[in-house]
Amino acid sequence: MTERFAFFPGCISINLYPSIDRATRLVMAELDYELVDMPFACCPPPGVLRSYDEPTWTTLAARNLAVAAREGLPLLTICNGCFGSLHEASARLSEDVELREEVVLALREAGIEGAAEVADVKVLHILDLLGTPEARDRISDRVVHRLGTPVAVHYGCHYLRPSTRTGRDVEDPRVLDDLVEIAGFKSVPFPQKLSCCGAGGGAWSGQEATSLSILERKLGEMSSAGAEAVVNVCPFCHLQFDQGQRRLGRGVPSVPSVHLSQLLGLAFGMKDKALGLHTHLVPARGLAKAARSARADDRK
Amino acid sequence: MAGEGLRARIAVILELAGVDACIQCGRCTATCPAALPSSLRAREVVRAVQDGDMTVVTDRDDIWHCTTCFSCQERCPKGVQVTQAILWLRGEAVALGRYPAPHTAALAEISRTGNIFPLEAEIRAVRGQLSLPLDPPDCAHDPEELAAFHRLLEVLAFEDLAPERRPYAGEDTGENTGEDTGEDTDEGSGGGEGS
Ligand code: SF4
Ligand code: SF4
Repeated sequence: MTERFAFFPGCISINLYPSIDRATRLVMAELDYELVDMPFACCPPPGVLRSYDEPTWTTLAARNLAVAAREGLPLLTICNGCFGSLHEASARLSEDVELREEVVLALREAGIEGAAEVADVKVLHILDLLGTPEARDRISDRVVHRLGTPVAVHYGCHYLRPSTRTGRDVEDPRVLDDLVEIAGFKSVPFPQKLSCCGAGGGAWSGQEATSLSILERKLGEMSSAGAEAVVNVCPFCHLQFDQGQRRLGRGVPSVPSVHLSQLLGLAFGMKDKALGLHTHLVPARGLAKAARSARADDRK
Repeated sequence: MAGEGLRARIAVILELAGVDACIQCGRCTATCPAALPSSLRAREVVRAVQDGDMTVVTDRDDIWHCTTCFSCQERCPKGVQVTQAILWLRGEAVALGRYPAPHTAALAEISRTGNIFPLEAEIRAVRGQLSLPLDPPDCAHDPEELAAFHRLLEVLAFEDLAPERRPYAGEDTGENTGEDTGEDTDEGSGGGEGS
């Protein structure tokens, strides 16, 4: 039976990078996973809002969990920020009875359906799903073009850390590198691979100079390692890579950014335009070109 | 005034984040991506909490350079919850009106549409080109859900989350600082500049 998920695209992918929204839908359909749309709101932001007031942040995250609970489905995120907020909130609601009671009360007072089940919703990051042996098999079955392009993988902070909460290998994670290689690309090693893109914590909007300086260093490492693109699993990291290169201006090495779902789409033989690569500020022309010539060869 | 209440709350942060275990080894600063380009020194922030030095909240904007990457918290040999402590310190700073100017617009966006990043006409058109529904199937486009969301914001007194902003001393903001230059600025109202 087709597995179903309450799909949580996050406000950056629906409202700033619909290319990622679209690519994820195409790729997940190809892999025979069903994404169910639900009336979600912002995760809410783990940087700005969590800094302001944790109870408010938790309650707004809990509203999203209540929405997912209505269908009894696990919630699937494609963004580290969304994952960070929703997973942390879900864990706190499970372990802290007093907090849960307060949150449920607030949700009920506002007339939010599904309030009673907020603590029952499983929160998954797309790597939690695609990293399973079963999903990896499905992916390798669907790959039609092994493009071999060298790419830098970017895990991003809130997928990995804090490990006390995520339970992940934060020293040498392999899941994203493996997926990239199964899809026929080459994951290049580079220093500070697990470090921050510079966008989080409200720094992207609140401290532009700090944020861009962190990004510039990261782009330099990736570019020196020979990466032709950076693969992310977070539209917010993507926003930083894509817009940040523009903000930094000339003289900065160009490392176009793609979300994992877009990279998989290329490997599955989908058109780069259908995956929206051309809608990015710094389009991944090299990847698009490689995919096009592979498609052209097929037709010969 | 902030005084004793703040001192007591910083003492609570000290306890809850395990700050008293800190041995001032500096590993947190060494791993911090913001240490190079900014004035943020995680070890010094932790030290200020240990010492009950309130200026870290009242006068200095260092804590706002943190990207919440959790590297320091992950690396601390003493299990100090450094990032969590910074997040709580920020909450105290916000209560005093000390926060970055663009965050005001970000919060206003959340209370309007439920999303920190709103959908602009230009991107709506891109959605169409990519064969997505022009309006995403989210809370913002479901009148009943949005009404319930707004009721929830009321229950949470969301509008009162932060007092009016008080810029840091010597801050070069180009916005109104009390010493009014008489010039009109519209900083902080740029749509889409959230998060
Ligand atoms: S790493 Fe931990 S123990 Fe060392 S200075 Fe930082 S907070 Fe203190
Ligand atoms: S969480 Fe903040 S203080 Fe800690 S290492 Fe990251 S940027 Fe630095």
